[in-house]
Amino acid sequence: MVRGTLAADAAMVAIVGARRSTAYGEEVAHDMAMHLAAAGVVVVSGMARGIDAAAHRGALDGGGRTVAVMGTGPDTIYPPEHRRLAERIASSGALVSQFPVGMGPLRHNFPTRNQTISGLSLGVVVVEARRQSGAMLTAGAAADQGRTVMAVPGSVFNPASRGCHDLLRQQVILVTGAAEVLEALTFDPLSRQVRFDDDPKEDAVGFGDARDRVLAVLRTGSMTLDEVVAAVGAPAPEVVTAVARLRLDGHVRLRDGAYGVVAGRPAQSLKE
Amino acid sequence: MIASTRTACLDGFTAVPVDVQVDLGAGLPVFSIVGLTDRAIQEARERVRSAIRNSGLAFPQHRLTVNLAPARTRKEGTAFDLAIAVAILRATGLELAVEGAGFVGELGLDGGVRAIRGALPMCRRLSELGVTPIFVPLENAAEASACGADVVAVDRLGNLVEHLAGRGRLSLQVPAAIPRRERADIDIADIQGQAVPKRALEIAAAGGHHLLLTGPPGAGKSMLARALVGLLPDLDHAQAMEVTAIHSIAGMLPGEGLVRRPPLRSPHHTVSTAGLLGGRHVGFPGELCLAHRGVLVLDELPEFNRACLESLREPLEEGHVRLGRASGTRTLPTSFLLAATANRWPWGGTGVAGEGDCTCAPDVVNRYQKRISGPLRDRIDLVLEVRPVTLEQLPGRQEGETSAEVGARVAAARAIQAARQPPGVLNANLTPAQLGEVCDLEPEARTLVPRLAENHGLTGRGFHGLFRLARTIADLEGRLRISEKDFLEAGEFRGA
Repeated sequence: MVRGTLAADAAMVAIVGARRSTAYGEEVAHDMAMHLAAAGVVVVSGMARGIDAAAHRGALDGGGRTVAVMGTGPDTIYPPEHRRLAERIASSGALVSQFPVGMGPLRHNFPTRNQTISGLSLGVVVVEARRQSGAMLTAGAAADQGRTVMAVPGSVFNPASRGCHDLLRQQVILVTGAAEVLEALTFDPLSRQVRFDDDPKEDAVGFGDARDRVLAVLRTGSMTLDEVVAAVGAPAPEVVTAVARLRLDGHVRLRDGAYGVVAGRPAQSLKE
Repeated sequence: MIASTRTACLDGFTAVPVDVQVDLGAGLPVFSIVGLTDRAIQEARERVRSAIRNSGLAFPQHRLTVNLAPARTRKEGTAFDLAIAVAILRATGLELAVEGAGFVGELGLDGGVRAIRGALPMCRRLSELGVTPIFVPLENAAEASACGADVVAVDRLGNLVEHLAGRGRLSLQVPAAIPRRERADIDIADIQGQAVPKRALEIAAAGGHHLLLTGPPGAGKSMLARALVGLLPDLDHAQAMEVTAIHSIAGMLPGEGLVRRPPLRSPHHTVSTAGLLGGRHVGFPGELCLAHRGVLVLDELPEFNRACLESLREPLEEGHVRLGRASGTRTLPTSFLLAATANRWPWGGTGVAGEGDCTCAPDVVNRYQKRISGPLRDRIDLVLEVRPVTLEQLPGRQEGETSAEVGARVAAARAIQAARQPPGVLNANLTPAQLGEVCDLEPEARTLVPRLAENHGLTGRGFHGLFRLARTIADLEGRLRISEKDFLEAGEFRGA
């Protein structure tokens, strides 16, 4: 069952990963989905917490379409806190379910759903996955179905990236951004001219005040206000105000008490 | 023969005068005390009898009846011993000058006079009624004289009797108060780094804003929370009297005088609601009362039981709490500054995988974070994440300001508020209506506020919280009108 529109000719790429994700993983998923969506690719995922949700949101933020393959019946939104996200997905893309009406979240249905995700897609990107996780099953199904499997590397100390690293040792394709995904799929983005602007050095804005130093510091990794102040070395009120301005203008985001830079948005994809 | 003396008993946080009447009649030597008494007063018979004998005086071999008037008021405690003993001795015919005088104190079997709880409110009430002098235990003399009452310190019953008989003298000089026990005050100069949390403490102290520090264990949350009290100004005389009275009732001031520094209380998270609000028919102050005019540190806030957390709501908002009990309704003063700490995750990690990796399902985390209910969270203006300071972050040694230096700015900001607002109202206590009156915005701030509110998803109470914080930040800078910068900074202290 499909709610929304599922265009048959659209190129689809799945972005999947851990539910217990890190800020890093979600940021990667979000940015990759945003850039893929801007390039006209439909992002497929499973609407779970963590990486899946970040991928859907990224695609929506990139102004593109996204498809959520549900592990429940079409009338059950799981997890329930994604009700609003589901609405947004359905309004531009589609919610897809292969299960009967009234079917709740059942453990054994999710692997089946995962096969559908990989089946719909040209390729599957695993962003963060523990060993023996649902995302790893999706990757396995994708390989069986002859799809391109890709993985994003993470910290070697992070258990949430261990599955990805296992995949990479099995010679799946290492990707760090949307451009590499497209390259791996030899997908010509519908003859659009897209310039990817995900090199953070390029989007140095230059405010001419404490904001520049704050951004420079935050690019080295996300940190708390106090760590920013210590690294910038200016009086606390001044730095806090600078961070606040950056957050207000969308350059910096706050997650779980730590601030991080928002990676460069796609630089005007030329849509003629 | 009948004789009487005056004393007082505690009634909640005030005291009521009590007359001790003694009747010596014919009959078997029986000693009874009437007047709605508790166990401790019934046991006074043994203490008084032995104390009189062991002071070298004769205990009457008559039928002895003691009435504590008014007889309908419930009485408890050991402070009646001294008044009962003196009244009995007068009834036996000793010439003792007790006219106009009051007596409070507990007796030991050896005739020594021992410290009691609540000497200050008792002496204040008696003094208001024109009772003078008031004889009090030596250890309570300093606190009792703090209210201006005319007190005489008594060490032993025998010496008191000699004094009242006009022979020998008790020193009329009130013993000097022992300097208040050195509290393990944390000076913020002792805390390395943590510039932003220190700034948050300064704002909290200046505007009276409640504070929540979140972060992993070992980040220094508790130390910061405890340092808050050091930034508060000294209590003024009226406040000092309130606080001293409460601490006197709790019996926490042996030998000490007026409490001039704001108190610091940090109950363990296993505390019961009675422990927080007060027990024994609310006659004994709980932690919330003991923190009145000071700082209440609640470490590991989500670990407190639900009832305790919800009981904080009214005190946080109103500065007092009304309790209905079988014995009547009482209003307890609980105007404290809350400095709470919490882990963001139940297992205490940073939320960064790999640093003490999580094994909790998302809903477990969710439930843990929701233990601090929305209404409670709404009453906390300042929320801040604290992380451990790393070695690279420490810029050399001792660059920090001392609590006294920051305290001076806090005092200045409070002076601005005192001049502008009704007495006793700090920025954190401003009602929405008052807030409108005291918040004059610069033009850029006017355009910023709606954007900020939308960006941070602020509604109703959160919006007012932002204004209160911004007002305090502007007061710290000595600015009349609230600027854009003040709002921006305030927005980052609202938590996420």
